[in-house]
Amino acid sequence: MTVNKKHKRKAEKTSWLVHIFFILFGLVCLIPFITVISISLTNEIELANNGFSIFPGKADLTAYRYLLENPKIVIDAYKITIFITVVGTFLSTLLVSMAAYSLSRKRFILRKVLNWYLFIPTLFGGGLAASYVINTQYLHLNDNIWVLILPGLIGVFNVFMIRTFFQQLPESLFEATKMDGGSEYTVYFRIAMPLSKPVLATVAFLDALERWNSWYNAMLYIRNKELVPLQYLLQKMMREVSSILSEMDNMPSGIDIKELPGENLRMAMLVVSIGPMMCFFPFFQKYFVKGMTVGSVKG
Amino acid sequence: MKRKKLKIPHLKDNIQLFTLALPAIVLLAVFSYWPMYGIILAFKNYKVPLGMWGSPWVGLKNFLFFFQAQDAWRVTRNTLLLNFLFITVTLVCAVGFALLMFEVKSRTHVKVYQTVSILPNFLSWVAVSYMSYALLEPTKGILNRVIESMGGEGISWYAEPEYWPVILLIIKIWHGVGIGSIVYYAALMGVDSELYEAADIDGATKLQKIRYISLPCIVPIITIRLIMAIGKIFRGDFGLFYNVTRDQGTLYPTTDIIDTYVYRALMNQGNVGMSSAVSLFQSVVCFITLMITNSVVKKINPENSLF
Repeated sequence: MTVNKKHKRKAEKTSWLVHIFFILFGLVCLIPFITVISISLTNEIELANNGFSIFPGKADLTAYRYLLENPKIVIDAYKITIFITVVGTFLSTLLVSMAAYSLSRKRFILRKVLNWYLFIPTLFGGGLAASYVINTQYLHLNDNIWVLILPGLIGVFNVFMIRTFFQQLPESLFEATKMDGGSEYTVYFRIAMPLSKPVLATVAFLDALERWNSWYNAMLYIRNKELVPLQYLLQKMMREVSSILSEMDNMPSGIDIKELPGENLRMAMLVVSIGPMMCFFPFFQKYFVKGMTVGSVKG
Repeated sequence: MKRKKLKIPHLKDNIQLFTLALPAIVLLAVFSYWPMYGIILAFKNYKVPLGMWGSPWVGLKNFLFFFQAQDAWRVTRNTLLLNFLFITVTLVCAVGFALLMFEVKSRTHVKVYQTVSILPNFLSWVAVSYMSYALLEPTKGILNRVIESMGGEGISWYAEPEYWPVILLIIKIWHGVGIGSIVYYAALMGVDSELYEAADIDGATKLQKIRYISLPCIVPIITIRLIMAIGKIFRGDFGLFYNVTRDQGTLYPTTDIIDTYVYRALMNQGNVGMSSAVSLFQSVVCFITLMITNSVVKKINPENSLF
């Protein structure tokens, strides 16, 4: 009995330390967010004198007022990001699952060939320069919104993941529909797709997050200021804050020239850009968790 | 008569299945296979008006240009060493994180800890670069203010390359350990709890249970993750290296990797040929490492191999 008790106490003690670890790690995860909000709420003069701090002294809304007076640039970026996320995710999930369905059907004679066709691009790539030359010189996709959507539309690992799921569905369901005179299209849209909603949702959420956070193709191909997505706007804001500021020339009333926003505006821009998403995505955490655990399937 | 024997079974179904796969086939042909053909640019002196095929062949000149410069050794070494560092340390951290998470018995606690630790992973590297900037900015940054308040002298972080391998490692772990541990945690949850109960009866300590039950159960997943990571050891995380270092030239000695080099060769110098050559070099070494790691794993345990 005493031995048992001792063991139990020992177990409790360890788990107490474990809690401390996770609370500390949680703070390390959250403090950067708090710091960014705090900087965005601090007056530029105070930032120049005292530097950044984790908690704001006196809340000052100058940077946000400045953004409110010049909303166009952020709103435009939001529109582009929402468009590429919604359209891109929809098309990607649809086309990927269509291909996955074909791959899952044993009667499809091109199954093996298609499998290799999809697998090879994960092993080899033409490299950045070849893609760049083709997209700009041959397809003329520069400064075209579709360059932010089309190139990454077929996520090969997603195809394999959904294929594995389709293969686990009972064959008899498909055959019954075929007996009733349904085509492969009917089976896909009426049977396979509705039954695989959970896995499709997982793929769609992971894809949406990636699209929302994408900036690479915009950096390569977008020069038109009206086609800049949020993340690229942020990147430009980090690298060339003055050129962005010159586009935002409406001054809110009652601001001293010394208080002209700089660092605080940068951080306010980050808050405005990632804030809504950070509030939204954690609610769909289970999809990301699922995506991680089923993601490692064989080719 | 013979033609009838060659008839494709379920012809109509096959046509329909082909049309379902067609958009994916076309998109990959345009955006993956066409650039693969475009790798001939590595052996050419690309001139826009002459096109990819029409530009003059220059043999291995682009490769020589790259390998004769000091840069080849520097970027290859940086890519390899930093990726090696990232792979090993993130693996250990993620497994450790999962083992600790496994000790947390309350479901609500697990949920809360997981949600918070995954949070950084929702950020793009661009957004992360803002946070590292808030920390490392030389005059206003939090880190230097802390150092100065303790009587030390601030460091101009963006001009001192020697600190960056560690800075990048910490940021990489901060960004990815939460999400990276999930796959191991899920595997631990799948372990038969009777094993632990039996160990308890035998009076096994926590560490013994980890050593003899938990770890052996997640070894298959660790191996497959490891091959995937080692197979990509010549591919760097462009977003991390480009944004978080703010592309500062002074940091190149330790932070310039193949991917950032390829990007600059193309976008800053407009050297299509050399950029392609370096990409081809990267693709080839990448492919070789993947084949080697995969065959090694196949020898040890065929179940865990990638293909």
